[in-house]
Amino acid sequence: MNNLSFRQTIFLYLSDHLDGERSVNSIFHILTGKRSSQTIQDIKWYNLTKYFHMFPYWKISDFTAETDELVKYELIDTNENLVRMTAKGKQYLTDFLLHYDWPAFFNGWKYGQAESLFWKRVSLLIQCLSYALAKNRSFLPVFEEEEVQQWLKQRWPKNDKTKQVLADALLGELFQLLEQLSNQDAFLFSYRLSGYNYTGLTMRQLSEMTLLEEDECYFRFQAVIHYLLEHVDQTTYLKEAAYNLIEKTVLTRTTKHTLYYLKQGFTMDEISYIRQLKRSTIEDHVVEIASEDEEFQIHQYVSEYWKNLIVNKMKSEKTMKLKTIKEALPEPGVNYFIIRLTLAYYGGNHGNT
Amino acid sequence: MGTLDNRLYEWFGYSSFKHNQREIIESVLSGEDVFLMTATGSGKSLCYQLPALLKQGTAIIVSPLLALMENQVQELKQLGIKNVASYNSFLSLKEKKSVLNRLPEYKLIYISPESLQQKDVLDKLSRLNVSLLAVDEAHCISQWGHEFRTDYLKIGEARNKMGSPPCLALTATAAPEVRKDILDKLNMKDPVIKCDTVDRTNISIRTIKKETEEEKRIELIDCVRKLPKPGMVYVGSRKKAEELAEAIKNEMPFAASAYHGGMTKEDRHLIQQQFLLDEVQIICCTNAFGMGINKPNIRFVIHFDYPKDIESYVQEMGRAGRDGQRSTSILLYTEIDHVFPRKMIEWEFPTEEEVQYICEVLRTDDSHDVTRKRVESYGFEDVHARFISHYWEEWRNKEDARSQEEFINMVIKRRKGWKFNKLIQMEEWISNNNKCRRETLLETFGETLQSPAKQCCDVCGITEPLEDVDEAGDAGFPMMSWQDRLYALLQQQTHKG
Repeated sequence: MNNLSFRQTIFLYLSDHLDGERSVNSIFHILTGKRSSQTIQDIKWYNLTKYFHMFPYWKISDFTAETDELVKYELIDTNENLVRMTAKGKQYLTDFLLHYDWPAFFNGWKYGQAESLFWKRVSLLIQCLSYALAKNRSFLPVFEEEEVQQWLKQRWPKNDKTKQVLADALLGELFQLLEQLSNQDAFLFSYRLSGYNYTGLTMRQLSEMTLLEEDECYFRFQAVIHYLLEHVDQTTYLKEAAYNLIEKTVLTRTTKHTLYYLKQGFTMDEISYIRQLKRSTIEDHVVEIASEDEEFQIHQYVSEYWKNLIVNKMKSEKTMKLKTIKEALPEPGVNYFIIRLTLAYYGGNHGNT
Repeated sequence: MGTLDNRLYEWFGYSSFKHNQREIIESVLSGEDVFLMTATGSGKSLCYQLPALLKQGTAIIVSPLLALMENQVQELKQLGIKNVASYNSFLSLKEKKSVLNRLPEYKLIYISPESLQQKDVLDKLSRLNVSLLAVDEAHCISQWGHEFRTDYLKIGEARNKMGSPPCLALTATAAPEVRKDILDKLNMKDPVIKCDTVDRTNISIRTIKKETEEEKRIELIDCVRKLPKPGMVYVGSRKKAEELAEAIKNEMPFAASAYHGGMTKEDRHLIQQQFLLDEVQIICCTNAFGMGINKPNIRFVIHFDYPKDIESYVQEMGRAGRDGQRSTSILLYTEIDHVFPRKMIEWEFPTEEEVQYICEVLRTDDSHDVTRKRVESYGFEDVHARFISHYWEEWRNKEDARSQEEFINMVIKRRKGWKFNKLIQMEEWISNNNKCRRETLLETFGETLQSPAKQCCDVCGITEPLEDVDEAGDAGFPMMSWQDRLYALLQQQTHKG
C-alpha cells in the first residue's frame, strides 16, 4: 500500500467517528459542505462540525475512486452501504494522529461561509495599500467582484498619512495573531497575499515550497482564515473585514423561513400547508433548528419522560442510530421525528461550535 | 483640421494620431460602416472612443471579455471621462437597473453580447439614440459565434432594433473568409475596410517536425533552455500544460507554471500577474491564456500542439515581441498530431443521435420555449445545449421546410466542414517546406510580402539564432520569512527609503 493522500486520511478519520453508522456518501457531504438537514444533523451528533466544508471542491468521481482504494487496501469496508473501520484502518489512523499537528484552530461549520469573502477583503485591501504606499496605481486587483470592491471603497483611507496608519495597524494586528501559529501556517497566509513587487503564490506553488500536498495546503490556509475570524474581536482593522459575515445561527434559508412561522405560533402541519411543503420537510427544519437555535423550546415537542428514555438509550447503546434506539425503547409510541429531535437537541452542541 | 487634434489632446493627452487613426475616425464620424484590422497595441479603441465622445447620443461597445471592458472603463475614468459604464452579468440587479435607467446620460456603454440579447436591455436600447455600434474582437463572431457564444450571431439583429446605427468592427486578425463572415453577420453595407499587415517582421518563424511526442518534449526543453526568456508554450490540453510545466521546472532553474481553465480564478490571476512581473519566466498554457494580456517583452512563443486555425496561430505567436525586439515563434509537430484537433472539432458538436433524440423529445413536449436550460435538462452539456437552442430558434424564424433535425444536422455539417477546412489550411501551411513561411502565411490573409525580414523563417534560413545570454536563470521566488514578507508588503515607504 502506498501512503494515503491527505484527504483520504481525513476521510478515514471521519469514518472512525461515524464507525458503522453512516454511509460513504454522508462523509462526502460533510467534507464538501452540503447544507442539508441530514448532513447538518450528522456533524452535530458526531461532533464533526469542524470538518464540515473542508474540501468543497472534491469531485464525486474522484471521491468514489479514492474511497474505493481504501476498500482495496482493506482500511475500511463498506458492506450494507455503511463505512466500517478495519483493524488495519484503525492502526493507520492511530499512526497518523500520533504525528499530525492539527492547525491551531479550524471550524468549517462556523466559518465555511465567511472564509471566502473575508479573505477576498483582506487580500484586496493589502494589495491596494501596498501599491498605494509604493505610489504605483497601475495593477490588476486580485479580486474584481463588485461586492468586494464596494466594501473596500467605503473604507479606503483618503490620504497618504491615513494609508500608512492603516498599513501599520494591520501589520501589527497580523503579526500579533499569526505569531501564535506555526511558522508554516503563517507562511501559507503571507505568501498567498499579493502586493507591490510581490505576487501571491498559487496553491500549487505553496505546495512546492512547503512540501505539503495541495489539499493540505488548502486546508491549513483556510484554517488560518478561520483562526483570524475567530479572533477578529481582538482587533480593530481586521475586524472590519469580517463585517456582516459572521451570523449568529447558521440555518439554511428555507429553515429560517420555517422558523419565522414557528415564532408566529403556527403548528408544523399549518406550516406544511402554508409553505406547500411535505410534513417530513418541515420536520427536517425543526430538527435543524433544535440543534442550532439556543432559544429552541424542546419541551413543546418532547415530554420529559420520553426525553429521558431516549437520552438514556443513546448512552447505554452508545449509538446515534435511530433504528437501534427505537427498538431499544421499552414501549412504542414515539416516532422517528421525536427521537431525531431529542438527539439533535441533546446529542449535538448548541450554537456554532 | 484642428478640432480633432485638439480633442485628442484635451481628452486623451496625445499630441498626434497614430498611423491611420485619423482616417478611420473621420469615416466613423461621417456615418460610414468601418471594418478595421490592426495589431494589438496600435490604438484600436481610440477609433470608437473619440467618435463616441464627439457624436450625439450613446455609443454601444460590444466586447467579449469582462476584464477588457472593466479595464477600458477604468482607463477612461482615470482620464476624467466619467460618463461611461459597463453592463454585464456580474453587476447586481440594482446596479443593472441603475445603468439601464441612466442610459442616455452615458457616452459609452460597454456590454457583453449575452447581455445585449436580454429583452429589457434591447427594449431600452431600441428607444435610445445610439450614436454608433462598435464590436471589439470581432473575429469572435466567426471563431466562437457559431458554436459556443451564439449570441454573437445576433448582434446584427440587435443592430437593426437599435435603428441601424453606423457599425465599427475591430479585430487584430481575420483571414478573408472570416472578414466576410463578420461583415455578413453584422449587416455591414459597403464598409470602409482598413487592414494592416499581419506580418510581424521582428518574429522569426520556425516549424520543427519530430517523429514522436517524446522527441517533441526533448526539443521543447532544448528550445526553452537556449532561447531568451520570458516565453510561452501553447498546448492542447490542461493535463499537458501541467506536465510540461513540471518537466521544464525539473530540467532547468527557470520558474515555469501552468495556466488553464481548470485552475481557480484566483490562481489564474496570480500566474498571470507573476508572468507580467517576470516572477515566472515560462508559462505552459492552453488557449485560455492570452487575450487581453499585454506583456511587451515575451521573447518566444512555442506551439507544442498546433491550433485549429491559422488566425489563432497568428494571434498566439503574435504575443511575442510586442516591444519590437527580436523574438521567435516555433511550432513543433509530429505526423500523428492531426488526430487530436479533429477530435476536438467533433466534440464541439452534438452527435447525430443526440440531435435526433432531442428533436423528438422537444417536438412531443412543447416545441416553443426551447431555452438552453431546457435542453441542458435532458443531459446536454452547456455548449451543445446553447447550439441546439440557437438553431432551433433559427429554424422556426426561417420557417424552414425541412425537419428540425435535418436543419440542425445541416448546420453542423456546414460548420464542421468550415472548421476542417481551416484546420487543413493550418496543416498545409505547417508542412509546406518549399516556400517562405512568412510569404505563405501572408497569402492566407490575402496579403503579399512587402519587405523580407532579416531573420525570416526556417525555409529562408535564420543566420543568427537568438540565444539566451543569462543561462543561470532565476530560481523562482525569493525566500523570506513570513514576517519579512508581510513587512515588505505593507511598509513600502520605509523600504524604499
